[in-house]
Amino acid sequence: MEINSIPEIEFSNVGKRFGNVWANRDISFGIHSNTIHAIIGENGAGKSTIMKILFGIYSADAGTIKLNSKEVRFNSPIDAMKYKIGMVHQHFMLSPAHTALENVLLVDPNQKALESYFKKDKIEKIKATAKLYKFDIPWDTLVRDLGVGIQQKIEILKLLCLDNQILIFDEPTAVLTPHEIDELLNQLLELKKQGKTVILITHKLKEVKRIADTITIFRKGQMVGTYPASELDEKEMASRMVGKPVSFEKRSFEKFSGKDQLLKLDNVKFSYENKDFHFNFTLHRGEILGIAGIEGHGQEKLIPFILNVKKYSYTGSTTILGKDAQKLGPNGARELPIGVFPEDRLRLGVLPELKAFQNFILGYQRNSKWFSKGILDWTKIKTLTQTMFDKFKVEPNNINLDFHAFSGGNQQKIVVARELFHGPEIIIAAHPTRGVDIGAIELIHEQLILAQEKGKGVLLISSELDELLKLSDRILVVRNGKIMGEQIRANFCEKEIGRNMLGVVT
Amino acid sequence: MGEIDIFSLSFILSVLRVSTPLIFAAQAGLLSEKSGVVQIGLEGFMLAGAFSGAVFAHLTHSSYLGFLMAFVCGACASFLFSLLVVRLKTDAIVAGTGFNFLMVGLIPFLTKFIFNSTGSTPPIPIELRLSYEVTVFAFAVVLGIYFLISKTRWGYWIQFAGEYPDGLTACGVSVDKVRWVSVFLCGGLAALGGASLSLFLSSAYSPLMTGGRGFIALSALILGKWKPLPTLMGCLVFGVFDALQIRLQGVPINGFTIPVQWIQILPYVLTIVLLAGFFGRSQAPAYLGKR
Repeated sequence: MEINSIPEIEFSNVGKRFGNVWANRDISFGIHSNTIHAIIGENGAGKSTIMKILFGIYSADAGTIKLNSKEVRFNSPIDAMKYKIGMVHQHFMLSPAHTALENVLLVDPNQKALESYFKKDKIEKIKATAKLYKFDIPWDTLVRDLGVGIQQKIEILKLLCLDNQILIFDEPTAVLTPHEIDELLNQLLELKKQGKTVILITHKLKEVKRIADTITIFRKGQMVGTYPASELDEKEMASRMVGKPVSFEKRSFEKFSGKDQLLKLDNVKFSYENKDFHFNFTLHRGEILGIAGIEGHGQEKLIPFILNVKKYSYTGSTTILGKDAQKLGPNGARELPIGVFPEDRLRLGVLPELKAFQNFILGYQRNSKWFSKGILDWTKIKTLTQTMFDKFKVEPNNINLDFHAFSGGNQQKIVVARELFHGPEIIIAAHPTRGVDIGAIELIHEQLILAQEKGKGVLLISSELDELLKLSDRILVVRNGKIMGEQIRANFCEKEIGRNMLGVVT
Repeated sequence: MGEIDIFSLSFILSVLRVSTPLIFAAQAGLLSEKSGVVQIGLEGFMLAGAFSGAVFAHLTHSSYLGFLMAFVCGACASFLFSLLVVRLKTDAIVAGTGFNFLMVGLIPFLTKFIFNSTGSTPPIPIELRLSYEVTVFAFAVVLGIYFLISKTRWGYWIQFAGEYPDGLTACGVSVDKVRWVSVFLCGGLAALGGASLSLFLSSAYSPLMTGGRGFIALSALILGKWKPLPTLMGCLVFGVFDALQIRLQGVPINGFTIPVQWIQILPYVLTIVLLAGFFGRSQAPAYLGKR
């Protein structure tokens, strides 16, 4: 395609500092009008930061931004909106308690406080815009009852209704199913066809390869370079992101031979928060059992259920390491050798305000390694934490920092280190690599494979199909609290899994 | 059994009378809580309104002016509350409790200062007392708030401020501004509830005359699931029991007279019973009390 010689947006030497750390430094590149420009990099590489500067959420500490050759400086998103720049945030800015239409109506360039909210001409204009971009939206449904795919469309529609020219997407595919991702990518291409400029922040290289015209790669707050998409293949992109060659090899898989059952949910049925769940599966020794499914379809409920966190009344039987789970109670279950990486580590896995070494014993505070006669041996705890920090290459390597001061990837490394420290027989990993950078993903995957090879059982709950396909021996697909399908490694079919996730049985 | 005809006009009027302060206060609380600000200071705003209404009615010899000034004083008092909660992000429960205590302490200080009394204001002449026009106005306020919340753009700003403030910010509207205005109107309206106590239900301010009505209004609001019309119904339910309580005082039932204190606790018991029974099914704004 033809690229104009003067970019629509031009960054020159832009820098942003948080404290004494440069989140962005010497960023200079151009984005051309009517293209799809991908910005890729690991977590913490500064790709979101630079876009937040463009959108006025942050202000730059150095350098300039030119929009159509005119220097601009935005102090808030409201300024950026005036220049027809819109951003679809990673977390949707929608009110779950309002309908789709009410949420879209909230955007209005010339807001008048006391006018009617449901003006006919405005509603018609919104519906016309939706039609133009082929968005099929159930207008009168509450957002909380809509899937993330549709929620995202609503979010995009909000920007289109403001007639934005430049659309920034921050990790838009993080929560979508393969089918929805496909649809979104087509829509981004449609946006380009309508003359918009699309900026896509992502770390999913497959998507970049499919739709991007130009790619800018970020590493550790700095630019690696800007390339035409045709010049790089996925492998090359990954190595430039990480700064060293990355192995894309899927794991060499050995068929598990053991009939040894570590965890068995035998026809278990229970209700929780008015939803019915029905699980029937067995986790064997030496097996990674993947649980696929769109988020919120009940797979996350397995953890509190297995760990007896709440009192559930259920039928069927649960056996953990040969013990009847019903009789264990939460403390009893916790004393079993089960390691858990919860899906929301900050809320369920740690106390973010406490220091790293304090978090390291959380849940194991009564372990005899450091606890005797009611006294905790902090010296020992610190030493052990330090050895695990070294082993897992946690950065910054300082056990005295508050937990929340670590980046997402390093936080997850600490949680993984803690759970693996005690040599669990069963590992339950829920979305273990969410919000985690490529380096840490590799480490976590290695650890799971290592555990499997040692004959442990791993229950891997994830919505990342690539991760499940790479690691699992078997995959169960959960939808609406029930198992929709099961595939063994020899017959993995990505499309089939995707269809099961959406509830299509074939 | 005594003659308590709950279908008589006089009983209905008495229900409307005792409900009036609750209606104002509950709608006031609704505005504040819809915008995401927990409003436990209703009691304090009511006290402020009851007192300032009585004072200005006494000074100007006009209950209408007193009523108006109650709104102004309540709204102005809200600035203190908003400064703490909206601007400085203090915990609204703590700030609200403190605000209530402030009013409890400030008013006797002022009465001593102005009237050299221990907490009451001089009564206004009986002919100056307000009448059912206050109730009519209260109902008009309910309708007004209903239309404001569910039909206007501003009303939706309030809703989004309570349900998903980040979404509102992303659309270029300041959440804090919306909350300031909501709390401002809340202060004024709750003060009108107080003023209807001192200018309509009685003719002077007496110490602690709100008697927990701010909290009862809050329960009516919860009972009404933060919706204007159901909240009005909630207020009327409490009004019925309050009116009943007044009628039952000293009435022998089968020759046995229930001590007046037992009768008087009726509305309060009702608060607990209804809230215990309904709270679980209530739908508070998602970001109520969060930032």
